[in-house]
Amino acid sequence: MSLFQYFFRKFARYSLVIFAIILLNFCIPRLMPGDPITYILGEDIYYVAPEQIEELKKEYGLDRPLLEQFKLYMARLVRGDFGYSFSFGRPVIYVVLEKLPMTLLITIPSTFMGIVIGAYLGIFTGWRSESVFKRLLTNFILLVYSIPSYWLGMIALLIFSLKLKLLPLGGAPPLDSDLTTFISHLILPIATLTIFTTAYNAVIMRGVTKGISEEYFVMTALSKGLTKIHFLNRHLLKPSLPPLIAISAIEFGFAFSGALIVEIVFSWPGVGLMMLEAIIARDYPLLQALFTISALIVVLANAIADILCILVDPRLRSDF
Amino acid sequence: MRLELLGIAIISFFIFTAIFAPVIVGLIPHDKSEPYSPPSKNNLLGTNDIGEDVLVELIYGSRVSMFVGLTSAFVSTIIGSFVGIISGYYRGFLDDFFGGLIDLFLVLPALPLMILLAAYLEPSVWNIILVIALLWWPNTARVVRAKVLELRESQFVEGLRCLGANDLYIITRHIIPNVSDLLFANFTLSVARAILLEASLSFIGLGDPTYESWGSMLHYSMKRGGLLNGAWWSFVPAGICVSLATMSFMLFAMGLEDRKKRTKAIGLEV
Repeated sequence: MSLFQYFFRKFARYSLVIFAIILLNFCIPRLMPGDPITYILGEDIYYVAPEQIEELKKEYGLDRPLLEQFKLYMARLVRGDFGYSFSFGRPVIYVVLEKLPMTLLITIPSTFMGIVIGAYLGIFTGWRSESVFKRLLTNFILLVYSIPSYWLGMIALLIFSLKLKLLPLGGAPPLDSDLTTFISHLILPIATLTIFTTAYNAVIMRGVTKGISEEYFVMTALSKGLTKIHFLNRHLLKPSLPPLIAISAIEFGFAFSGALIVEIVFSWPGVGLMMLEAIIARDYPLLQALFTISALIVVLANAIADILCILVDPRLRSDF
Repeated sequence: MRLELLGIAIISFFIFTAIFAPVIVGLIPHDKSEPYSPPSKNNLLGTNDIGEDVLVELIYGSRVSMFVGLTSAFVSTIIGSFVGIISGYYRGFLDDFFGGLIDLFLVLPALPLMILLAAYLEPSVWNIILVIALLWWPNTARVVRAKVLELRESQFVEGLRCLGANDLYIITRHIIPNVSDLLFANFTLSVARAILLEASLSFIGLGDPTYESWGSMLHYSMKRGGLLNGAWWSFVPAGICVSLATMSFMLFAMGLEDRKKRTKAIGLEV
């Protein structure tokens, strides 16, 4: 299989996934009970004259056959038209793109920290996991894994902001704030998210490490008398990198979803807080765009992971 | 293993509480008091935003969590094992189709999709179960499919075919018994996941408004100033319950897994 073929295959696969996401998004409002136009207009439907509703239906092509509706829908999407958010009174795409950087600001650092700390914790606990300390640590990670992230966020707020009064109660830092204020607003959301991505990663890496530690090359490396650190870094971390990268992509989606809820706790003005407003207002176009965009982000992360895997894993390249 | 027993003990405790909730509530003091009054003799865990006893809410909340957790895990295990067995055993077109579907679902961000569906549907316990089951079955299907793929190539299945056993017989008498351990462990994990997901949906405000659940207790505490007033009793116990319930099912699943030494097979890592 040539490199080109490999990429072509992956590309075809991801195109199919993206198509499926769009199709799903197209179908959901049409499968739900009630007239799709009510989902587009929201509460405004009560203030619009019946003739105008008919007109709007024509404009959205809702009076035409499904296949044609789908074509129209695709044509809109290609132009970046995700519909109109009635609760924000603006096209959906602007609302989402405006809030997205704030969410990424807390998602990206916590994903990276979670991957690094989690990978080491996972390798540490997965490698010869007999000692009492390691077993305790494993169970502690499992405990963190079962705690709802938003609840931990609430506890953090209670302790650090309300009782100790060390950190702000939430919200985004003001635009003219200095560096310390800026960071103080970021600490709690990022810390909360990091704890969860760490636990998630540690659980996975523990499994990977356990699998790898039974392989023969590990035994060889050990019988050569390599030092522990050298061994862990060169012989254990390296072969576990490809699965780690693949998982990190899924992880990013997980962290993104997690951020949506954690934002609510810290009133962090990102996509999550906007989602909450959209839910309360039953702003369906906005919720749909949110799903589409987060799905696209996950697909993109997966595609990047595929490319990175080729770079770190010589076994994949040798096939070409 | 001791931890497994701890898991079983906690699960039994919550299920017992859920079943006998009205009886237990009758045994404890629970007068209506001032909103957000701290724990006292009359309200062992204080009161919430409308002056209701937190402990009583917790006890009734266990019903929602246990019911949603067990039912949606059951439904998703049924769907997942059906799809997994069919596509793993028959391969071919069916496998291409279902395999693609499973892959697709595993890539989709579950929470935003769940929120979207839950927002469209009427908020009710049954719809929450539907949404969770609808999005969780691919996890079971993936694991079951992998195991069935392995089984169908095994010698005893080949032997059965040579003896002239038909597919239905092989599946019901030999494949299903061989994946049942896996299914049970996976079911237990699914319950843990479902309890967390229900709590998340309720926390966002998409829960069933007619029942108080642990998630909705957190929701109201956040929304109506319980947290900002420092009324820790309005949200700390509910979160502990969610975590304990989730963890106990995970410990149980891990115990099952340890016993069978199939760390990779049941997909605990994902």
